[in-house]
Amino acid sequence: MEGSFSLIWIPLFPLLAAVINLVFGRMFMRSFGTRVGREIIHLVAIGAVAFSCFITMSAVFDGMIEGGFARLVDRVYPWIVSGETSVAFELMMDPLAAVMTFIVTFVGLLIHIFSVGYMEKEPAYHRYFGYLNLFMGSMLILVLGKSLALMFVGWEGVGLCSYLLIGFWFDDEVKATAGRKAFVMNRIGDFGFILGMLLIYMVTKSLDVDAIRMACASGERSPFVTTMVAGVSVATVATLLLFLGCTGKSAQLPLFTWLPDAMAGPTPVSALIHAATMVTAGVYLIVRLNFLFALAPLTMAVIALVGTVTAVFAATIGITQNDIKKVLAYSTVSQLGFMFIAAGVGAWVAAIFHLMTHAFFKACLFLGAGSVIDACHHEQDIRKLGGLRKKMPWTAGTFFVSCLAIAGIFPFSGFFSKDEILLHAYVNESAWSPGLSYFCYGVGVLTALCTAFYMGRLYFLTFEGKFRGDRHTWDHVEEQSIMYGPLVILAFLATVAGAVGLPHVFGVSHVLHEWLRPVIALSSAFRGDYAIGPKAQFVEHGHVSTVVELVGMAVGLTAGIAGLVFARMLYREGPSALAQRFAVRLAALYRASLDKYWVDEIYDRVIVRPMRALAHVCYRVVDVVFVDGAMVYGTAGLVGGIGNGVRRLHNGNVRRYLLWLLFGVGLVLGLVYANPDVAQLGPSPVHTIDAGGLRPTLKAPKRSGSIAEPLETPEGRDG
Amino acid sequence: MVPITHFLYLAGILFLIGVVGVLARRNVLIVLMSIEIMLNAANLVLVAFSRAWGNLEGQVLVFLTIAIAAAEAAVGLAIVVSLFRARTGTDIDDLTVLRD
Repeated sequence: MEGSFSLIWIPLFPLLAAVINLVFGRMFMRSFGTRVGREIIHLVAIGAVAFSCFITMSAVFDGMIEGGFARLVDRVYPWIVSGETSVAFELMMDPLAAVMTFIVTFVGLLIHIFSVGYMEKEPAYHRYFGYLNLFMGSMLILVLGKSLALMFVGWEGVGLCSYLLIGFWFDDEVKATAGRKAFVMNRIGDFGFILGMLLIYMVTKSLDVDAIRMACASGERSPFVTTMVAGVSVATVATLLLFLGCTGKSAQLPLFTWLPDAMAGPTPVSALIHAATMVTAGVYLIVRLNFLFALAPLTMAVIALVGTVTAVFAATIGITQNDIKKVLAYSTVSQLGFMFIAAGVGAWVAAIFHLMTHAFFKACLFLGAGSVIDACHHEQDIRKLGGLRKKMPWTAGTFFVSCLAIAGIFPFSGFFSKDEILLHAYVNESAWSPGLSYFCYGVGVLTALCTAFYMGRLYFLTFEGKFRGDRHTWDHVEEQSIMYGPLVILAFLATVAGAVGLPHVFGVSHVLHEWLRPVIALSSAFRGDYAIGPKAQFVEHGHVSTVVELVGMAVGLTAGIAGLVFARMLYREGPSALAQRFAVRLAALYRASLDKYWVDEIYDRVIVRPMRALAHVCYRVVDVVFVDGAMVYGTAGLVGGIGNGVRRLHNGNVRRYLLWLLFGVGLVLGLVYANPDVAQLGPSPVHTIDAGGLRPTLKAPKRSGSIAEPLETPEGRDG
Repeated sequence: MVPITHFLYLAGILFLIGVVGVLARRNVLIVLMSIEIMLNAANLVLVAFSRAWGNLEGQVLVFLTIAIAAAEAAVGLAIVVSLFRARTGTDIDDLTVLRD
């Protein structure tokens, strides 16, 4: 069940467009005038992404067979071949990659179109679209890569583009620093990715996903489980290291602080990279290697725990933030936490489901925020916004729909995906981590409540009540059709995307689950779709029993509605007196949340400053004293000193030179006298051999002209 | 017949006289003469070996040397004369143009 298809064009189109725009973009704007130049630039960029979106869809149709999907593989070329090691540049589209590629290209396309409106006054237009296309290419390589090595190329590529686009306005020191922070934090995670990759290579001698799957196939007897590293199985260590990479890329504790700062970039970038696609790469990686993670119960427990804590941690910060993008950023961190809860309890499908719905509604929210920011003279403080619904009906409407989706209100997409995650979190109790399911579920519901609350707060403060900014700004507020067009499409998807994952109660099949079945088949075989543990009574016929499902949905829906109602109470007409009273009454909590639990400050004290001090010591001691002093200047000084000493001999007096000459001759003669062998360059031994005539002649011809080897021939000495 | 070693000793002594003359004397003319003495010491060795081994090549070489020595003396004396004119002196320790 494997077809072939030229998948390489999917990432290649955006990459080519990136090259065109980065190399010739400035020339377009100079030679055709700014207006036409911009047209060319964004047509190239959007066209390329549209092409890859189109190819993706045709590939999906191509691979569709009765009752499933035939994997498509494109063997582009043998990339690294060295001895027994061989890594091929192979792209693969399996059901999982198909879902992800579709999300990336389609949401990417909409965001490219939105960018035309948002960036219309940007002088570095070509650079923006060049980077955006470069990101698309890297992300698609990451998604389609068949080996971990190739995925890593994409992984690093998206990291680079993230850095470039966060620091897009690099003449602002704060923004440049934010870019650097994202890059450095991701490096910490990437180091885990590399080590995990090497451990896997150690066991399988290959980084190919299929090879890893083969090695996992024997379950408890697979080499991943039986090979030990420091008393723990390779599966556990490798997956923990890979998960470290995921915490960096997907902004989980403890490496999440870069994502809120990443909001320094242009808003469409936040939508594309820091909400919909790149940050979900960690979830994608885990689901891609689900069979390996399924063999490491410890890692799974860690993932679930980290996801849960991150979700509630970020959600509580989101409640008090005043920057429209910061709220969305913490919301993203929190929702990613949900996806990791799902991955941690083995609900791979739920993780991808939530990844997809989140891509739609969060991209819509971010683009809506972008539309607001663009309309209000780059005002991002929600305390100075308000009442925008009257001037921006499309933006407000789509934003509201997405708020309902993320808050988990029936029948919007977020309801289904979040509900599925919470249900799995409750039902999957493993023997490894007793009580974890209650923790995950309880905190998950609390987080859902917070989510609904801060999203409601964000919506009411921005779009309802009275405008709290200055009159001049208000007069100029208007929305552009090129910007709300993509919003409408995304809001539509955010509404209906839940249809692919309807729960069992509805009596229809879970489309996404059927679609992804081949991807998760192996790990399902290990642990079943639901881990049968202490809570086996909740599972009937391979499904969660109807009562549990209904109760779960009711709880989730109640949390969502409660959050929204509470937000409406407090913020319907701008920040109410009641909200102020809460802030005063709970001053300590409010302060902690507003200051983001001082995580940045703690990192600064504990890690950054000691590192700086260490770097300073290295600079002063190692660099200045040792490298510069001893090595560089030392070498020069030594040579100079010798020269100075020897210069005295070179005094221009010919007779002194002659004296030295004589001294030298005397030295040589003396040596020769003391050791006559040195002078034995000797006459040709051939003569002697001819005269003797009795020696074996086998080697004789070779000895002619034996100046080089006089000492080896006794005859040479005689002559 | 006088053994060849005698010629060699004589040539060695002459050569050493020449070397010491070059190194120790400061007058350019004397230095030039010392060089001539060293050349002739070499000539003497050539002739001596030529005679001892009954081979004329050494003597031919000596004639060549003498001719070259004559030319060299002419050039050398000319340099000395022009030096004397330029520097009003022929003390070799004053001639450190190479260093300066």
